[in-house]
Amino acid sequence: MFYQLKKLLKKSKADYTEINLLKSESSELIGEKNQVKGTNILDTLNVFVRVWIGKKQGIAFSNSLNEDVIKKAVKIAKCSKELEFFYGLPARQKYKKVMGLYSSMPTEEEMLLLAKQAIGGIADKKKGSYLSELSLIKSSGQHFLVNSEGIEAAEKTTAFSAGIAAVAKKNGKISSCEDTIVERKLPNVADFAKTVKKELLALLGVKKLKKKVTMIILSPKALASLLGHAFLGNFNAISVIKGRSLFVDKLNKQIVSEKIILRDNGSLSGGTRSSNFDSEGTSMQDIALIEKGMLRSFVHNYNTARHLKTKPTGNGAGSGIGFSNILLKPGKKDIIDNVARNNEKVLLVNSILGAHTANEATTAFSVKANAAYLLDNGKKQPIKDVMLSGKFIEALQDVAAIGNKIKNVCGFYLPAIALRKIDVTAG
Amino acid sequence: MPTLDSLKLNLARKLLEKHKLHYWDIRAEEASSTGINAWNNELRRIAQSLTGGFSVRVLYGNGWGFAASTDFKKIAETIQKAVKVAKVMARATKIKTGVAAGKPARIKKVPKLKKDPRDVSLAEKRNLILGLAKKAYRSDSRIKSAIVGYTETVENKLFFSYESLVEQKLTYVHVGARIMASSKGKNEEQHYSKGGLAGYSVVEDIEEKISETCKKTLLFLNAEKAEGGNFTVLANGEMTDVFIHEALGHASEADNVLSGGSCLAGMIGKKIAPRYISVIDDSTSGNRMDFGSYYFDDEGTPAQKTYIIKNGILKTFLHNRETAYKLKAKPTGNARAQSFAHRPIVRMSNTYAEKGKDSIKNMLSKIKKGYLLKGAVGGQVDPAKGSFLFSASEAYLVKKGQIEKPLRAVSISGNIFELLQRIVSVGNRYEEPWPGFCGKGNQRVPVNGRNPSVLIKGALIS
Repeated sequence: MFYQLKKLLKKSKADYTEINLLKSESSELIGEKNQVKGTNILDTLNVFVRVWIGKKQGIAFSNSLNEDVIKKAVKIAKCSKELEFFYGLPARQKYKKVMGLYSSMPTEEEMLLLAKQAIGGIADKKKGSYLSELSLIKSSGQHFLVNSEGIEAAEKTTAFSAGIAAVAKKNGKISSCEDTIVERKLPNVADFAKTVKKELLALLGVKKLKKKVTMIILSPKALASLLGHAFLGNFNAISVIKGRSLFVDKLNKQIVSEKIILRDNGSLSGGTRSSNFDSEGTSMQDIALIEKGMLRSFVHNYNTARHLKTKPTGNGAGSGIGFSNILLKPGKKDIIDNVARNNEKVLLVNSILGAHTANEATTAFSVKANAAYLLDNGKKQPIKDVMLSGKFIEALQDVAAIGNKIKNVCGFYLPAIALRKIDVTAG
Repeated sequence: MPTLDSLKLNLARKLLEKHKLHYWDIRAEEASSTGINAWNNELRRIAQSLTGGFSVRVLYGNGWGFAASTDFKKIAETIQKAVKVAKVMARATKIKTGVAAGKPARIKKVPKLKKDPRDVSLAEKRNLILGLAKKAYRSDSRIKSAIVGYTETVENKLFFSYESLVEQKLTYVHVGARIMASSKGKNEEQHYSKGGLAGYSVVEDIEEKISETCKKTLLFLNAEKAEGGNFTVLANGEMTDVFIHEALGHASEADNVLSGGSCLAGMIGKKIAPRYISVIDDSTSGNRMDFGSYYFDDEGTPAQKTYIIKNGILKTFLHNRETAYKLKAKPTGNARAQSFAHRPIVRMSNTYAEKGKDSIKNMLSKIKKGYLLKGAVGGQVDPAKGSFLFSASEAYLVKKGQIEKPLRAVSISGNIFELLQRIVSVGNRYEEPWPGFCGKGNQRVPVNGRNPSVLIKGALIS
């Protein structure tokens, strides 16, 4: 493959050229209403080319590896305008091998067995629960990258995901629960299904919230939604340079509670979003974003790093910037134990609706608590018709506690977090 | 690159007919797209792509098999994969399935556009988008970030089955802007979006709309937080669009009904809303070619206009051929797939509430203390419980019928059935459409709505 890519590279008449080639094979087993239903198989090839003529950039994609895609990118570059800054591309470098990115692929029969485990873990006639939708995906990919500065990088990865939507109906009550796990190795689907069922049954018998809460605990899943949609974009160095980020001029300043230690780690062994190199060929790294509440770094591609006179962080994603695995350092105690002692009335929120409507530039959010419980006097009551709103950065400035159990939520490795500055509106 | 022409359809038919399949189809696509992005004074990106591939979908016994490839030469291998997995599924499943009768067709639909975007030079588009971003950025010193994006995608789609050969060409044009302002430690961001299938004319009046977005951003810069609680709300057309889409649309998708994930199961023929509420899904959208339109769905069923609710009564779900078979209904032309690489599932197209009789002035006069909501940001639903949320980027306090002051963005949440009953009147005209993308089952498809305003009593706001 490198021979073909290098041959194409030579045909480029641009000053700088980069070619990413992704080959992928995946298979998805789907199920509905306690039964398996079908399998979808995908075999794709994607080629992404970026070229620069001076500071003018051209980008072209195709499903074919041939000269046309290079010619198109060069034509676009000629028609483009100069970027405000361009310093070139990363040079050839050594990569530290990130472990745990590849594992063996199960057969179709093994996938069927996993599906049956998922169904068996949820379906329960006595308790009224059933698996509404199931998606089990196995995929393997090969990523090749060459550039005009001598980079030749390749890696093989696998990924597995299990998505379950379940419903319970009993004695006129209804509850629903949906969750997804994404891992580099085959997940324990049976245990996952049991966790979903436990939450599903716990949510039967929701009542309206009649008491004033003094604290909100966001579970890892709820926290991942708000971090991802209402907060992380402010670390994107392009947003910082362009003035859109809340963190402009805030480097090494206190931005949130000193309890927060947040990292972006693309080299995490077996990490859901780990790889050996980013889309520009920079080695993936473990970067401190926030240390004891102080802003320590943005996430960069090669050119934003050069522009801000710092090192690239391995977050190049196409012509932009992406995040890898996000890790929040856990606390030392169980979060419920940590907050219960003060006789607080706590709203425990396990999942939310509408996080994607948050305003990243202000971190303002207004969401619905879709799976929530009132913790009061040792009791746990499922609650309905509750909305949460506020500014997420303000909420993170007053952290009551951080839990001690980490959960992987599709590449967010987070504990639960207890916050006070979130407004709760009950219907 | 290999093209649709290199797909050997006759060979494919022979290979598929060797097996005892209840259903088979082949979908193939070639898509060319252009994306241009400008940020403040800089042209950040011009990208073009030419992509394509095909998929084979089969039903063997009660098992579905689907296989897709970007290599048009791999037809035999891909068919073999699809049939093999379908046979495995047929042995494993206990769901009885089939497909409702289709409408055989042999047709090619290539619309004539008033202004084809491919007749506009890349330089002209580049200048337009960069000019819009620069103008917005320079319009006020408080505007710190102005992002303008243009996307144009031309899809040549082919659908081939044991009964049909249908080809259609769809040309999507979309322009969006995101404007951020900052002053005295406060930030605010507003957005604008416009899209359709009518060609390059989508960009007409875009400069004026982005200018309005800049003014709105500055207006809301110092907006206070809205008081949460139950209030009377006048939701404008955009907001009604998201509400109808989230609160009702997803629950009316028949695959959600069949999987046990819809609160509307068993409600056909029942009154679920006041008699002045009718809701339509229309993939034809007349001559307007709204963003969610097409000529045929991804099972070859012609686009059509469907009353989901008529005068308060739930009339039908939205169907593909499989759900129509299982629920003994007719396909409604709502089988859609993000691309050839995805299997078609039930999706909305252009979904809207039929206009009513009330004027905005009159609806406002009914609000003693409440809100006017505009600027839909999006929403989400749990269709099994009927629980939903949708968000507005603009909120205005209304007291005794008068619009008083702007307030920070809010969301409405609730239960589908309860909220439908709380709609007290429907506006008498269709307002500006709100094109967007809907996510379901790891797929995104373009959707649209052209809705009237609605007045809702006792909506939960935060």
